[in-house]
Amino acid sequence: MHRVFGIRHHGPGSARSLGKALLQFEPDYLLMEAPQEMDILIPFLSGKKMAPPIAGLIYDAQDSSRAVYFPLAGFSPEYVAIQFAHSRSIPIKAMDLPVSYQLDTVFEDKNAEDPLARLADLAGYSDSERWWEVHIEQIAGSEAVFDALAVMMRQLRNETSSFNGMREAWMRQEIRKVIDGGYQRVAVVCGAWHIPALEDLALFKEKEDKQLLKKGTKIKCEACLVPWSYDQLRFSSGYGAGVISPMWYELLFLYREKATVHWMIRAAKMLRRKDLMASTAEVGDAVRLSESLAGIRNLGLPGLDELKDAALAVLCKGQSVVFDRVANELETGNRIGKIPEEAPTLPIYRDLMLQIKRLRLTAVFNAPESTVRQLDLRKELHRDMSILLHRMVLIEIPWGKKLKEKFYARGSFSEDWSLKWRSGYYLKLIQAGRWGRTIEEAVSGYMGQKIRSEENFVLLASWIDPLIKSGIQDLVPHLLNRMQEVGASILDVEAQMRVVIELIPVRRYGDVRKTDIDVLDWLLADLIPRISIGLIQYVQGIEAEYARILYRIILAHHHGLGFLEDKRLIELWMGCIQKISMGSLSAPLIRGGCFRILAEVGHLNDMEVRARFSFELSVRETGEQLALWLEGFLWGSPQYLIYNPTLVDILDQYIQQLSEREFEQKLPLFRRIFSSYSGIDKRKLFKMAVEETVFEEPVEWDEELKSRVLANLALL
Amino acid sequence: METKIIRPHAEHLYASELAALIRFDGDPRPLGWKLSPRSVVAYILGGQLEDGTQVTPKYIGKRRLIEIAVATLATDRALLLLGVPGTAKTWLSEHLAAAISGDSTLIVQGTAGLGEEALRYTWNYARLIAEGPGESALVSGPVMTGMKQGKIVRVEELTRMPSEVQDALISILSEKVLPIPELGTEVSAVQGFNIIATANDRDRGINDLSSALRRRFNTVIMPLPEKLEEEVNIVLAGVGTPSIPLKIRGEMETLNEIKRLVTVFRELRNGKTEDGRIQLKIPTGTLSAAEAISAVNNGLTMANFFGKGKFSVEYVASGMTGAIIQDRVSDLPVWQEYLETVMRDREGWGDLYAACKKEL
Repeated sequence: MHRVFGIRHHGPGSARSLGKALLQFEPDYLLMEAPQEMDILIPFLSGKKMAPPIAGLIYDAQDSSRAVYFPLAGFSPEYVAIQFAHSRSIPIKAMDLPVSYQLDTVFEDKNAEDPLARLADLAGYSDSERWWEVHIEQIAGSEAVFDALAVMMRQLRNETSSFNGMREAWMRQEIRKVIDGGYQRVAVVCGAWHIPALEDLALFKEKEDKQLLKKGTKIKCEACLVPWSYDQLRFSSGYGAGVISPMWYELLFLYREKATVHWMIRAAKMLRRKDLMASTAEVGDAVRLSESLAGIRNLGLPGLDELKDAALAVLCKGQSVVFDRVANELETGNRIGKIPEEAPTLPIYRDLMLQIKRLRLTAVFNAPESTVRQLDLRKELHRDMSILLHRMVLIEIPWGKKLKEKFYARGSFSEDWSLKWRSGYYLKLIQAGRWGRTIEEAVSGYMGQKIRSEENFVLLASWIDPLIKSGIQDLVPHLLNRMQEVGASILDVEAQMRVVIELIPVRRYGDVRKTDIDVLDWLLADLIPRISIGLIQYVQGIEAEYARILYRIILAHHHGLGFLEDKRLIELWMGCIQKISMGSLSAPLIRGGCFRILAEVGHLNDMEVRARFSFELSVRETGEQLALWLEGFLWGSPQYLIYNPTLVDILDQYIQQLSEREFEQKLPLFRRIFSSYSGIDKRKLFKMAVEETVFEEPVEWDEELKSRVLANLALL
Repeated sequence: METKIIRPHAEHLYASELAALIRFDGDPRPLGWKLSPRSVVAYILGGQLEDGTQVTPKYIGKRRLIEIAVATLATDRALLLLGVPGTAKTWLSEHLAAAISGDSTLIVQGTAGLGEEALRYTWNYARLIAEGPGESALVSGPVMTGMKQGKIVRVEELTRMPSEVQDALISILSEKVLPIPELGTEVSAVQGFNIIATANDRDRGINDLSSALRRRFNTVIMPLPEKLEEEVNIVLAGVGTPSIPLKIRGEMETLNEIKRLVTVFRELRNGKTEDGRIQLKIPTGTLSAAEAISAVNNGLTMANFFGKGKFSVEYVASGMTGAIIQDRVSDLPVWQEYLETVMRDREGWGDLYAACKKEL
């Protein structure tokens, strides 16, 4: 004989009654509703080495991203059934249709509605588990629950889809097999919905069931275990059969009548951890309020909503902002499962765990809060950590976030990472598993495919650095070749410069091999002449605001080129700078800036610089343009001005000849320029300006003007 | 001529509703309660009874809040209603007391000068001198009366009371006993006694509650209405001075004007227009639904006695202006800015704009 125990998936009340009912029924064989592939995983689902929640993952052997998950929490009835079978050493088997038959349909099956949750909803319960407790468990008592449920389901069910029909036909066949095998007391644990289809086998013809199963097409599937988390069990995480609050369900499973008290204590503890007062007396008061609320709402027992309302009114003094600070943790709980080392799991998961162990990152990996690690890349262990973290980022698992790196720090020996493992990363890891059996393989596979299909030159260039830092140099030649194929010609000059800025440090610091350097050099030799020709026109007729942005890029590009050995390229570039500095159509700010570059590298002698400077300043009718030219020239630091007193002189004369009105107009400009200088530089300039003027024109000095100028200078 | 009380107590005004609720109340009542908690909620939120009796909604807003408030009173903790002025705190406390105890008159008004005796008891000095200290010379305060009779006591503006006086409530709430040392006796509270306090969010700083007292209260924060429609309904329900004929109140035109007035109040209060496009300065006044009700009542009365019996736009404008400009120096520019940047260009609002301009 067999007996069907209808359950609610992830229902703690169901799980409790099932535990009791199995004790009483004393089965000699256990069948449970789970796809047949789960069979190889069930032996690993007990013992000290594992902890729920975990999930069975059944995936297309060709493509692990096509996968079906079977999550089990400690409060899932199926998990209770497994524990029971293992403790009694009785055989247990997964009896549902193999995923290999249904992988295609699983993704389409949208009517995974829980009929019991519907009933609860109709009865006015927002928390379906409480409805179960009040209307099923309390009335029927644990043992009679399953009979009551069977009666209810017989009435509820009329028709099901052919898909369900196929699954149920398979399950009936499995039950028949076990009974034929001579077992006397077979317990069948399945979703309550299936009860009418499984309880009386005589109602269904074996022949028809066999016929039904012939239709299936098979896809080769594999199964493995992965750790799961309460976060992923939540309905809101997108898991269709998820629960609203895993933590609440755990408490219901563990404590039943006392669950409300435990919930409120947890709430109070969390509030205290956030330095908010929540006394024990208040916990009691809050529980009483939740009970009183349940009464008003016509519910037999307080559910999650009542508990939340009570916690808000009593513990949080009505302040929902306070409650919001703990709400998420309180509802979800941050439990993450553990799987035994010897259990079948995705090779990529095993690889990651091995590396984490080797790199002594286990504590960091398990820490609930984010941890900051400073890596010294001269140490081998740290270098390997950096490589792993960079690799994870490339396969879209940002476990570590690199803290902001300053431009000049490139190539230095230290990296700061902020690490926090999120449960959602398991899913991404599984997806990455289709690209390889190890992290390294997955990065190679994934990035290789991305490189082959990417057509955006700038994006391609941005991958060079992370690839080298991930130690996946093998891909760099492919990447560079791909960049060569895509070609830089379609890019605008700004993007080309950005690529050069990206490439030069790679050449400098990256330990790329000789052949790769050749490709790199080829790319640079292609890009820099293009830039040197294109930039001259590019800087014409642009807005001042964009000119500022562009000038920053030009400067970075210029500094980058300083590290190149190819004289021809540098000459081309300097020629471009010179042309811009002379071109009357160039944006004035960039023209001024380029002039400064020329002056600084000694391309012009002092005489030329002075002549040019006073020439620019003498053009009076274009006031605003002059201002921008000056801004470009004085960009960044005034060192050049400080060491060239004659320029200060010219500038001084220029300022003095301004009319009062013009001076006032220029004042904000000067303020903008000078305020970017350091205090010492400002004082030096101030001193120079004051001294010079006093010496040169002692006689005709207008006292009033002097005080005014000094006051204005002081303002600067 | 027939005389009428200006404002009857809730338990008298809604006596028939309460009687009907008692008749159909099938649920268990806490000791000392006239109604079951569920019926109290029904009384506050309104609905229809089995015999067709209509229960008018007394509070329009979130059901959850009322349920928490009633459930709190059913436990032995006191209820604190917190909120900015005009969020129906006092209104709700009156109706809760009327529904639970059938008596909303046990009330302590919190003021800065309130002494402890106002909470406890005082003496009839003539008797005290003539007969000496004894029960007969004792004049019990509202709290003491509530304790003896097992009724809800309302404490209004709790945070306005001096802190020492507030703290006198602690032992009353925790021990449910009021000692009378002069007589060597005490009054023990009877089942049904509880306290509903109201306090204002805005002047919380004046005499903030000690944490010991705070702990004895469950707090319900009374929100400003979330949606325009909800607030219009609140104002509509609140408008109804008996001297104004129902005819005016029910007209479409009136409804439309109320909608505009509530919109203006909400926008100024929230510092932005309803569509969220324009940022506004916020005037000093509260501009809650309560202010809207009084502005509308004011306008309706004027329309009834001085106008042609129509709630026309000039009455709305004068009521609005009066409520918004509390302080001429700071509120006038705020209001002018609103008129010029928002109201002038709003389609179909030209008449109101013109009328408001005239008021300035």
